[in-house]
Amino acid sequence: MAVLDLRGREEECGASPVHAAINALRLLKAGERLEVLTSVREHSFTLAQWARKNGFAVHVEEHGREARLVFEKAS
Amino acid sequence: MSAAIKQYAVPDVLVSTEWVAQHLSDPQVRIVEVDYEPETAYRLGHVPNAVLIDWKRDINDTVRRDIVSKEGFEKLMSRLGIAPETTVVLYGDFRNWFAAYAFWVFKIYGHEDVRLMNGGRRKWIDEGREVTEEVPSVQPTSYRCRGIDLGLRAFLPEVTYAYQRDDVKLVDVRSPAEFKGEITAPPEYPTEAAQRGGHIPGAVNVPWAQAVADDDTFKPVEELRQLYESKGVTPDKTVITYCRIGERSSHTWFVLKYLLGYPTVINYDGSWSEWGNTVGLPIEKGE
Repeated sequence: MAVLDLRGREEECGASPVHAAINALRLLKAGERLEVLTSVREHSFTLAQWARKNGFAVHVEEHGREARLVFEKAS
Repeated sequence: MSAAIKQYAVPDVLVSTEWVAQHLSDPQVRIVEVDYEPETAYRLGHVPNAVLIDWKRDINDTVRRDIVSKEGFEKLMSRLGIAPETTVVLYGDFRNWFAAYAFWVFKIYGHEDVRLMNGGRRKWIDEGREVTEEVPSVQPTSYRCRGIDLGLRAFLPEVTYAYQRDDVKLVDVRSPAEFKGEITAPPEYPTEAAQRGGHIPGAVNVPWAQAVADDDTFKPVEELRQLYESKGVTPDKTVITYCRIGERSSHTWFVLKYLLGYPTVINYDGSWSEWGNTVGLPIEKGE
């Protein structure tokens, strides 16, 4: 499973790290999974909401500010 | 008003997330989310009763490459149910950049009571506060602007004159890599690219994010004062802020004008995408 680590990536001059994750999710084929790590709750919220609306199963684990999200593209 | 907000020069322009939570149904208050990407922000969930300003569509004229016209602004306010006396609270995606830009446009068109939600969308969600996908229905108004303040906006001819003056300080709020000329615009923003990398001669680099804490709330007033004064950005000067298209610089414009109370702060929204592409204008590279 591929892992995308958004921690420490911020919008200083370009697109939000969230959009990098969404672009990665769009590339997944049915049954494939992607793990995303983030320490920003806004990112977790956005990604989980977007994924559920776009046909992904989402599993979220939160430990304080750190979150691990696993997305699976529906078959 | 919280003690953290009272310290600023003009504290009335800032509200806390808690203040917003207490005014969700206040008929005198209109809460507005300002997004660059509504599909990955407002439409996934927003502050209850908040209406949307889509930054690209609603507050810009993309044909003229200009801010929305006075007539367009009046139509937008009318559609959002905002009257001239409404208290408008702005917040948004991208760490409040575009909310700050909208704040600047509201002030240009003379809206008296407009405020930013300190910490923006990020802090609201981080605090676990309620969000909804429900779009509120609003009663339209017949908004008329009470005046236009173009003194808040710098155009290219003024900047080409001003950058040579000792009593003017230009603040480049982009990332150090953009300031030094190592990059112009990220590939995902092809319309914001410049043919040259660098900065306006004499400008100092104070990246916008240095004004906020980890939770995106503004830093205490003394830290802000120290930050800018250490770079020679002092209240005795006319200060012109710029970035790439004028949104990050709106954020710094807000800090200098309202949180620190500098008397003359102007946002140059043409910014690097204009200066860096204009024939014959000098630039500097590196630190």
